[in-house]
Amino acid sequence: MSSFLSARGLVKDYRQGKTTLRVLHGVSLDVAEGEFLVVVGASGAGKSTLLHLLGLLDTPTAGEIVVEGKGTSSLSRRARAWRRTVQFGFVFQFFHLLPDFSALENVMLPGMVRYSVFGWPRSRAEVRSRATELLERVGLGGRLGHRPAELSGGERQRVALCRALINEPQMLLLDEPTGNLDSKTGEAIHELIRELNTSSGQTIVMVTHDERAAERAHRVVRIRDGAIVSKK
Amino acid sequence: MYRIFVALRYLMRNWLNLVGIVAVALGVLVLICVLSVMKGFDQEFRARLRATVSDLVVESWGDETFGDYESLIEKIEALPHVEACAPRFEGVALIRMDPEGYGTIKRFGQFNGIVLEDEIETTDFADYWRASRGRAARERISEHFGAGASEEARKPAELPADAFDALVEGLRREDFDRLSAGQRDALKDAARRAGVDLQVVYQKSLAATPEWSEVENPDKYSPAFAGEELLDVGRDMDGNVVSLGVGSQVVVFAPTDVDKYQIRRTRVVGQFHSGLYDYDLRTLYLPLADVQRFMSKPNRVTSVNVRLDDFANANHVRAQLLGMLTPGELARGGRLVKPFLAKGDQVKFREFERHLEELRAKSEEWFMEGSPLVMNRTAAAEWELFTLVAKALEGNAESETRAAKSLREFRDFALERKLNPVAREFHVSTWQDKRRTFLRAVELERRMMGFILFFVILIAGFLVLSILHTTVITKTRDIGMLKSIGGTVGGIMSIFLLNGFFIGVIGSALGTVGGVLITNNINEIEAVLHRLIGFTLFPSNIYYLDRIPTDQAPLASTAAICVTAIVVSLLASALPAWKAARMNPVEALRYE
Repeated sequence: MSSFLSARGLVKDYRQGKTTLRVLHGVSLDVAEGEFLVVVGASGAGKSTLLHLLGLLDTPTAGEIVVEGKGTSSLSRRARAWRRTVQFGFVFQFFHLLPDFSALENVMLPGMVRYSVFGWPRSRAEVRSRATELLERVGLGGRLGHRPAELSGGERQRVALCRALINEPQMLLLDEPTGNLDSKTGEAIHELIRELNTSSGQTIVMVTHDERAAERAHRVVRIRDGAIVSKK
Repeated sequence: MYRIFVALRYLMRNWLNLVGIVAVALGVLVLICVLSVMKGFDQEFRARLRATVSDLVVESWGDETFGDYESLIEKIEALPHVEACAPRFEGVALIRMDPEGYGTIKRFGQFNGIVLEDEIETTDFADYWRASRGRAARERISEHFGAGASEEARKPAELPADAFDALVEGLRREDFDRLSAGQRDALKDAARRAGVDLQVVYQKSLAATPEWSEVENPDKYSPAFAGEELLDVGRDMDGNVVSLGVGSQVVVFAPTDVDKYQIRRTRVVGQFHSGLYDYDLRTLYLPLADVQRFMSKPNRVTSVNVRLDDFANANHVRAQLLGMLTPGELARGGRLVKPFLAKGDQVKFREFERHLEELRAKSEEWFMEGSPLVMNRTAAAEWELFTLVAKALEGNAESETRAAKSLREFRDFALERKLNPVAREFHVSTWQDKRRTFLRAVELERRMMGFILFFVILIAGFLVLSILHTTVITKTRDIGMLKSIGGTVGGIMSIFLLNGFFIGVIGSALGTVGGVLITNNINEIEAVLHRLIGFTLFPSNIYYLDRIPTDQAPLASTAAICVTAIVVSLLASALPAWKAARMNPVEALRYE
């Protein structure tokens, strides 16, 4: 399997007033295409930060992220934003659905970001049908018009998952996707994620503190105090 | 695409935006209403001001009078665009009335000596005289004003029953002359006891002007046409206005010099109502011939009023008039040129040119202002001086290249405007010049109101700012999410800018519609308010208006108001939008 993304010596500092907090101490990591990688670590270990860095949502203090053999440190903010739109899909612990939009609209939103005002009329139908299809696939075909407030936690996370997938990203980045769900619902989400990987070969990086979630992964990386402690 | 989509959704889902829209709409509405009403007032008063003045007024310099006005009028009437001319003798006066039971009333005012037929031709006098409360018959007025002296005025002068009273009221020279020496002494004694300065009247009586003695039949009374406010002397016990009626006596004390004045008794033959309180309070129309006689200025007037076919031609006609009325005073400049000529070739060209520049700048100012004082005598003399200097230096190569060139340019500049820069014996004003103070006050008032009310929109802007700030705070996670799916700094900014923009646009649209509706129905609204709360918003007697005048604010200023409101909303949303755009997505997403 070829390496889609590799992180080299990632260091991340957070400045809090006068003190500087080092969250990551030189993390290096390779993610192969079609791989399902799980990063496990206790809360505060820096795993969310790592995920944000991998998805170009944040910039490392030192080190570099190489996507498809090309470094990203020299990319402009606009180029990084564009990659977030088309190459990466994020799913967060707290779903972060936009409360003013229906499930369908939430899923379609990255599609809107992707196309300009002029491109949108041509792509609208396509994005819409794809969003509907995705929602139907996760069993929410009947709840397209519902707002997040009218959905349960599991349903919301499924909508979030669909939203992450709408632009057919090369890599899905999951940040504790089940952390805010009960175990039964969480299990269903995990099943969905795994199925996504096995059926369509979606590259997935998931961070979690849940050891059980790691069972389904191709590879598990353990992280403690901002450094990788073991790779399996 | 998401920018518009998200912005519209935020706009619709947050009721606070409605508050912002209403605030902007109210600001726009108030501005449009106030400006419309003020414009209405402006128009109304312009029309009224217009009624009392003709299009152009030809006056002599200072407050001097000029003679031979008939031939001047003939000349003016020969000009194109001129419809009619009317001579006028205007002057200031102390107006005294003695209504029975109301004591003595003295008012400072002015008298206009007119020829009625001509006056009607040049101003709207006939209209406001008809609008007068008295509704005096036109025939009677014509009878009194037509030739000057009226039949009533031709009655033999009554000798005052009491000489002293007559003196105080306005004893005339002839009356005084008729008294015997003993009577005169008695009168002087009485005056001294009463503390009245008899000296003025006495001196005047001794120094009878020849013009006066030439008048064959001096009438005791002149017929007068008084503003209806002037004749209001008070209220009776029932609160009704008491007015002096037709036939009442009004005495005019007109100063002719710093220590001299003329006294003229007049009888009211009619009232007029121009709609301008001050004008109606202080103005008395008298027959021109009478005024000329009692002011001892036979065949002289202070001004000639000119009515044009269209006021748009005013400047054109004025330029022609100024050209035509130029007297041959060019020689005056000759005296000034001598010191310069004495220096001969030693004339300092730099100084000369600088002087010329100054003069040119000055004259440019006059031209631009459209001032009636196109050029004063000094400037004209200077012009002449330069011309002569240029002539004297014609052989000089240097002067040919520099000074002469400047001179030529200046001359061309002046000729371009068809105004020869020479001394004027007359100045010609438009009615706007004559009423400039008032027009400027109204204009300034309107501008100030617009400026002050602009702050209402500014306040709405601050409201929009705080509303959008709240929106940004509550949408922190949305912003983080939008950034994680690729929302750029510009994209996030434009969401909130668009939000502000929509508030501005919708607010302006609603405000404009509301403003126009209110403006068009303001009198009905006032009536309803009056019925509901019994408070008269607009007492009709203050401004002489029975309804609130409005004039639709022109499209341009309405558009300007709307654009301002939209720009203010946009500016107000810039700060929150910038704050939102700069938000760190990781921070924004971190916590639930």
